[in-house]
Amino acid sequence: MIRRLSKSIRQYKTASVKTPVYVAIEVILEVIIPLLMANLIDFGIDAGDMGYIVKMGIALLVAAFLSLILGALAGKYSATAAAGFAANLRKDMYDNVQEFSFSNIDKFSTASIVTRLTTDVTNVQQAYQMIIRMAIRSPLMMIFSLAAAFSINASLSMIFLGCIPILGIGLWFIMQKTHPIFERVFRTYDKLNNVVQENLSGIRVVKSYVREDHECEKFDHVSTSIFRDFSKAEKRLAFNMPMMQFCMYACMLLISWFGARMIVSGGGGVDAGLTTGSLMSLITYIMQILQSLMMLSMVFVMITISRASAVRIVELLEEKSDLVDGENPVMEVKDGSVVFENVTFRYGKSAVKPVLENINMTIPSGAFVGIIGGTGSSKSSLVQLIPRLYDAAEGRVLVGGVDVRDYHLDSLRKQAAVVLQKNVLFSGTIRENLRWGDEHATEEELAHACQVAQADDFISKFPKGYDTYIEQGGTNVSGGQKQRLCIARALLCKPRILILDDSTSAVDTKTDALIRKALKEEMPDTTTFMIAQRIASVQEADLILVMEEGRIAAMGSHDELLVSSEIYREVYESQTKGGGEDE
Amino acid sequence: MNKNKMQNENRMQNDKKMQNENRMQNDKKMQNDNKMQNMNKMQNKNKMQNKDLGKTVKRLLSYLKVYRLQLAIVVICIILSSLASVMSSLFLQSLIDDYITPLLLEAVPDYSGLLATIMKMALVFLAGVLATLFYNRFMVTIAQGVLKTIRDQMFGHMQKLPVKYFDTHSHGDIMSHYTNDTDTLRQMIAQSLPQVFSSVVTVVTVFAAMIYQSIWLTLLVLVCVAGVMQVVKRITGKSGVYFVQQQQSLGDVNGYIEEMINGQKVVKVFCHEDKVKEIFHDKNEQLKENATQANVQANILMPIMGNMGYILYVLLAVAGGAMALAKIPNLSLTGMGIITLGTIASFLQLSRNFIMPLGQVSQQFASIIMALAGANRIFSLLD
Repeated sequence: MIRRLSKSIRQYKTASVKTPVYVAIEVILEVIIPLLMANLIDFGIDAGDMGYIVKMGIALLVAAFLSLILGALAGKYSATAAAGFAANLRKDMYDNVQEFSFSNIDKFSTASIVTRLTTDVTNVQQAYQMIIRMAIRSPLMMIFSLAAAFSINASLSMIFLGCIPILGIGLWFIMQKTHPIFERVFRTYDKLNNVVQENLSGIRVVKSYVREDHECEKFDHVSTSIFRDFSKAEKRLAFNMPMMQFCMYACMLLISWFGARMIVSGGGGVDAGLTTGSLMSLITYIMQILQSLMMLSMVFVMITISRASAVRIVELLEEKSDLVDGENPVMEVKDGSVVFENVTFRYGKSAVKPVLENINMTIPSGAFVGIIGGTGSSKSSLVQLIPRLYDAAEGRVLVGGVDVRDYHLDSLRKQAAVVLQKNVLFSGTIRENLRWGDEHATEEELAHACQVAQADDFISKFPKGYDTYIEQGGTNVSGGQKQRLCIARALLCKPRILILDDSTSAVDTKTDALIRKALKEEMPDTTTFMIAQRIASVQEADLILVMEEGRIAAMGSHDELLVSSEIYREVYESQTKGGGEDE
Repeated sequence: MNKNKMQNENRMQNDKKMQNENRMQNDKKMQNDNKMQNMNKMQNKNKMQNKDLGKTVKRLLSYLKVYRLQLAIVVICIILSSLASVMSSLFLQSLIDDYITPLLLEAVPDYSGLLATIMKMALVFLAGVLATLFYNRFMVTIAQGVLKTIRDQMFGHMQKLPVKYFDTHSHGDIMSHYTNDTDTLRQMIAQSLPQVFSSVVTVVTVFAAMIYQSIWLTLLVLVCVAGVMQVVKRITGKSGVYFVQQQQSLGDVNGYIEEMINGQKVVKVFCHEDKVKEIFHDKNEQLKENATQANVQANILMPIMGNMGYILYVLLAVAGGAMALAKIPNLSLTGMGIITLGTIASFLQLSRNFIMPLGQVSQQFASIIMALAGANRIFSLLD
């Protein structure tokens, strides 16, 4: 895992190495400073030697100044390294996501990809900065301070040594006790997010069924458990500070007591082993040692928190797309014919139940194909195999007489355009959105595509026309307008095959008919697949497929199916009787 | 080349925003909403005006009202804990002046007085440790309690909002009220507030202790601290700017990620992978620059404060030493006297105790501002 992550450090290796080096020198200086101060007190102030005070003072000033510069440099390089590392991680992840196939995206879900790219990266960035600064600093500081303390007075320094295991065990104990609770808290947080997310996406349902109280109850349950667990964990963590204070004060008193006796019995001379100045330095070293222990415990906490994030990042980095171009890929789609040969398809390799089973069909180029069927009858799955959004598990899909797996993926998708059922417009003007289909499209081409998709009318009614700004997610246009814009966008690809996956569901029947008419007239050579809920939408198609539970239940023209397919007839009758009720 | 492009893009985005606002203003139904959004935008741009800041703080305090009793205990405990730490510096002076130096003169040293003092100090320290423990634990309960109240209120209120609200606000935005914003709030209530308060108490008591010991040296410390604060102000002033920039470009990158990953399937269908990569790289680069700047400023603050402390230390030692040697009468609250070794030693300790909390306060400043901005966003949802 670490090896995979460290690949993303790249150009920030120097900064990552420089930081601990500067930190190390800074630590040495910080250890020297109290020694200098001890001398200043003993030989300067105590002895009344003003010249010595000034000399030591200058030495101290130089040391402090150097340590300031080094500390600032370490701060600078650690920030550069951590921010750069985070940027590289985001870039690597984002680039890899672009290689993902649809099944990769399905596997992670968009929400989880977003969290990995945002929150998880921030966690790792903070931990990384902490590690290159503190993980070196604290142990070094402890070693040097201990060495310095021992050089001053070995027997008094034993007091520290007695303190360190107590503190170490205490810290370990606290972490042992809190870590599992924190892990539980993070899981509960996921649950909280889930409740909110579900509530947000189902807010209409919640409101129409007056389920607000029930939702609040559900939320209160999660919220309370976060409150309880978080308080418990933090209350245990709250022992950290006082424990450290306790050790610090205890060391101070013990050293004062024994130190004072030592100084007095030694007569206060330098040769006696302990002086007032060195007592002061000893106390400074206690602070430094205890502080570095404290820091170290914080580093551990950071690492445990960010470990979960690192794992999630690596998962995303290591995910490989399961769709790869073959050797010598075919760049040109000859015509719009589509053939399915014994095609079976399942989502994910391990899924047992196939979504499509043994599909055979031959569609000539330029045909208008309607597809109907109940929800879950795998209408969408069928058409998504054509531009190779997914690969068939068994059998072959041929487009223009060539197996889809032999095409250059981009070429295939440009010539087999899909209007997805769950479609999105991006924030930007209408023109910018349309240009996704063809970035070099002229104004005339844009207008023409919009006329075919029956979008021209409402666009020209906007005061800004094609420059109207679309909000993120297209929230400022109606569902029907959005669908028509999406169709126009796909038309601009000038595809040989056009796939409309339930793309006119929010459009009124009259406009729906106009779109179909325009498609037939303006693009007679394009093979069109139209998935629809309404039989009226597919009635005039050259060929209608009736899907049921992953199979083609019936195939034929409207008149043929009325005779041959019982399902088709039933649906037709219910819809014609229902009349205008249907949207 | 790149820069030009970016500038253009920026300009275009600004234009778009303006168009957008105009369009929305035409829409009477959305006027209310528009006002709110405009307010938000203005606050973001002007780093939140003081008036709003005051309102947010007031409202936040109203949540704390329920915990009046606990808060009173917390305040007492913090004062006790800070006093204990100040006492530890004063103790050094008395150790040296009242015990070590006189004991050195005695032929048969009598340690009973020293032992009694140490025992007394042990009690003071124990009280300090316990006070620290209590206020930390109380603060956890208070912070988590406030957060729970706010969370529940948000969710309850959300159920009452009209459906339109959910169409005009991205789910990601609303979600982040429950996660990012409450999280910064938790940190502020549980950590920043007590730390700032205890720093203030420490600074005040240390200051009193310093005056008690020597007015001349205190003046020297004040002059130096004023200099240090000047440096710090310049750094934190700049870091505030970088910080805001970092948050802005973080929002920009996160927004882009959210929008594009949600539309990832469309990106694939139109083979736009390279296009979105390019835009993402630009935004990512921008964020990296700003994050580096903001973090550099934050990282160098502590080494500067710490080492400035050492420099102050040297100045004090030189000045104190000179005063002791020249037998300049020391003016203190207890009257005139001669500066002693113990005074200098404990003064040196005190000066560090004086400057460190100041550094901590300035470090907490950024996180408090961030938390208040988060609280403000939460409150605007609640309204």
